[in-house]
Amino acid sequence: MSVTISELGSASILLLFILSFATVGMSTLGAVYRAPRLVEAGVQACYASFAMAAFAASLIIYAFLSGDYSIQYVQHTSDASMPLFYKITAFWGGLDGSLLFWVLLHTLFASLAVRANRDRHPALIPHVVAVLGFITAFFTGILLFVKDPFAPFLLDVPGEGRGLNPLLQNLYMIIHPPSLYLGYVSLAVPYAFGMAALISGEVDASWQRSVRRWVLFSWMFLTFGLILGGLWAYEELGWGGYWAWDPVENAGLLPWFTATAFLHSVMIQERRGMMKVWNLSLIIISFLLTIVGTYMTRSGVVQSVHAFGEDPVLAWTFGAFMLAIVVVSFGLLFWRMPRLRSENELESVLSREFAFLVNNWLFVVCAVFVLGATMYPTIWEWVSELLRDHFPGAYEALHAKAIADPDAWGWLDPEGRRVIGPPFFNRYMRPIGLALLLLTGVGPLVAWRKTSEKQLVRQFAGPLAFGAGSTGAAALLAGAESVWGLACFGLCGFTLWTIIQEFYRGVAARRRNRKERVLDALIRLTLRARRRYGGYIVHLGVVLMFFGWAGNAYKVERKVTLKPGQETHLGGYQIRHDGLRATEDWQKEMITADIAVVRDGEVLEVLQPARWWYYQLPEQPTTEVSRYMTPLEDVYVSVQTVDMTTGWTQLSLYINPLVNWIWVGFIVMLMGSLICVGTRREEKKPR
Amino acid sequence: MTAAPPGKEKDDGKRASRPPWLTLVVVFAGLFGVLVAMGGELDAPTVALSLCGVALVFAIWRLFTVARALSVPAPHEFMGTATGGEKARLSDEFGRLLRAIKELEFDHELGKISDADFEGLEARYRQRAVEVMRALEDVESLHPSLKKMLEARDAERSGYVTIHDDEVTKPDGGLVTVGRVCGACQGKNDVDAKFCKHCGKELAA
Repeated sequence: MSVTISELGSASILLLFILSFATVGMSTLGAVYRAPRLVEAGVQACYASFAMAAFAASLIIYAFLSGDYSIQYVQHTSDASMPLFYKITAFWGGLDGSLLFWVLLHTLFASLAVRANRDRHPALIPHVVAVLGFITAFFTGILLFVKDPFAPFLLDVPGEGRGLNPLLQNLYMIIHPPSLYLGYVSLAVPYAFGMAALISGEVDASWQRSVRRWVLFSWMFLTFGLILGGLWAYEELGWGGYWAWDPVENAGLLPWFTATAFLHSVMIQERRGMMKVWNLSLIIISFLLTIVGTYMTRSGVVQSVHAFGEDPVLAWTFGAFMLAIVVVSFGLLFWRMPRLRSENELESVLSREFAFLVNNWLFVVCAVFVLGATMYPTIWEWVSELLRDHFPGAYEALHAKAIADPDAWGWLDPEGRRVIGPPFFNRYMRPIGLALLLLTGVGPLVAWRKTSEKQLVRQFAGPLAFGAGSTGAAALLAGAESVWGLACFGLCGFTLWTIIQEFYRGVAARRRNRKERVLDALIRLTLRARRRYGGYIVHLGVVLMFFGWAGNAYKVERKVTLKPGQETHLGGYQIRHDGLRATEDWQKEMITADIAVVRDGEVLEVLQPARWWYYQLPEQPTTEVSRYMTPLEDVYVSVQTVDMTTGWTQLSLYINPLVNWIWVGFIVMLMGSLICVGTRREEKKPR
Repeated sequence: MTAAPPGKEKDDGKRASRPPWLTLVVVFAGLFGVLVAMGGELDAPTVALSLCGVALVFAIWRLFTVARALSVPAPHEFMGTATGGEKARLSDEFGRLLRAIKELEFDHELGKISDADFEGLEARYRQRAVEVMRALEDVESLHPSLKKMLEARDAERSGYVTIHDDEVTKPDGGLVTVGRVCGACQGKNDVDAKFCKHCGKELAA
């Protein structure tokens, strides 16, 4: 009797499902009866869950590499001609595999977190293991009962695979989803510690110090995933932008907002013993939003270029899970409310606590607004159906109002769904974003508890002067037509000077006490207070990103149709069509245009935008963008349509000022967060 | 007889076991060799199948550790000493006050806070730190038997035997005084104290 990979895989998932319930059971009983044996068994079962998930993952990878098309998921997302690298990454290229990948990462993080903290927080560990085990059980249950990646073809087994979506056969798309998953999944660890603190009653700040680095880790990967998603959209979709407020992009942004808020507000609790309920709420909401994001991506409740498709069973399952999280988590929070009283009060609005508080409110407003606007089409549909079925009069009135005033009620997409587009998001998010940039500059200038007026003037004079100077310089160089653009440049200048001033004064104070060279003092200052100065470096990255976004206010955009030999102007450039080339390889047919970018009679670069038709999906040609990049701007060209008989080529041409500073800013942010991650020093315990 | 909990073998220093990753590498090499010997090709699927075997061995080993954990008594230390609500809260507040003082001094040095505000706030923080330290002592003195047990354990670990609160005998029989004396008020403090619990002054390094 032979065992197939499909059978082995399904059996391993079944065993993982049983094991995760056993983990929950043993840890819970161990904690209730204070039985060390059961607690230890729960911890070992947590490690065993990772081992079992690794076995299941290795089986699916083997199935991809060996071309086992008897497994539906393998047949749907790969074919024999795909390169080895894409065969491996096809593991998370579809819905079923991505859920297994999720379980693999979740069990890995659970094992690492438990191993790192079992001696530090022994009283919390059984509860942490139980919560993490419960989350494993939920996702494994989905794999087992709803989306089995090992499900075989029961009748006719196809001889060849369908292949991975060509849009996903791209380096960015290989790295972007795992990066977002890493961010999403790792947020379960702080949530489990928060719940354990509530259950055990050990709600002091020590558990937060352990999870702060996890949140920072999640935040880094979420940022990385979001930026890579933006870069992919910029280089692959050909519409000249990088962020379109797509529901799936927004799904990654939601926990990012709340995780960022937590990273700031946790400092208030550490310093002043305030905002304990708020911090726990942020941890709960951040985890909840990762599940909301998964729900939005995988249930089909929202329409998106990234979504996996409609699945009502999955929608209801995730809905029930989210409801359970809300009820249980906030129930525990209310239960422990008496132990979470604030130990201090806010003493002055001119304090860092207050700046952080406002920063938190704004981040939460961002999350609520983006979630509401993203879910609006779905909510609209539910309400419409409800009204149509039960209150036809009210439905008619609402429908008439929506048609009469489309701006107020959203727009209809080609499939007739009501959607909210980027202009709506930009209208509200632009001022909130600038307010956050302002707070990025203000926060470091004010001291904890209170700042006197005299000190305030001393602190703010430099940044305000530099901010005003930046606004004036931007008005002179780029023109004064965009108020938002000028405000953004001004705030970038203000915040930049704040950061420079902080480093300058820190280095000066250090050099007053020690004889050190400037560079030595700078490095030692940063390494000695990594969290503070690493945070300032993150803020520098934020400034650079806003600088790049400010350039968007001066964007130039044209759609033209040219024949070879013709040229047109774009800003200060001449764009010349030099001809078309048709080529093909084993995977696709390609038409490439040679587009010369000319300035003052000199050819700066010959761009090669293209359209590709994959044999596998000829009805979905892809757009290959070509860019002439400088630190000041990008000349961005994409081919929309092409007629090979006449040579007429429809081109989208853009000048995107300062856009590359966004990517530079991201690298600086990443460096800053790496410095922050290394904050904790080993505590020396007296022996 | 008390057995070490699974996964803790490394800590007791009695069993010099191979690192687990090395075992898995050996299993991988063995499986790969067997597959090639059986006619398998030197290609990616063969490597992947060997990795599946390694993952299976790893999973079985971890399942075994679950069973072993259930079958042997785990040491009581594993559950840890629950820090106790009040003591944990006070320790937490004390740590926060020390950080706040440090931060305040740095902000003062950077000119973010005036001299008058600095002196007022620092005095309040130090006063509160003294109160918290005393409260911590009170909490600890509520459990004298526990305190004695812990002191005896610490002394046993270090090879010293406790005579009084601030005197211990060394393994060689000599007497040594532990703790720190404040230069300002001559008050006795714990050996790891940074600030005097009687007057709040910083103790010399």
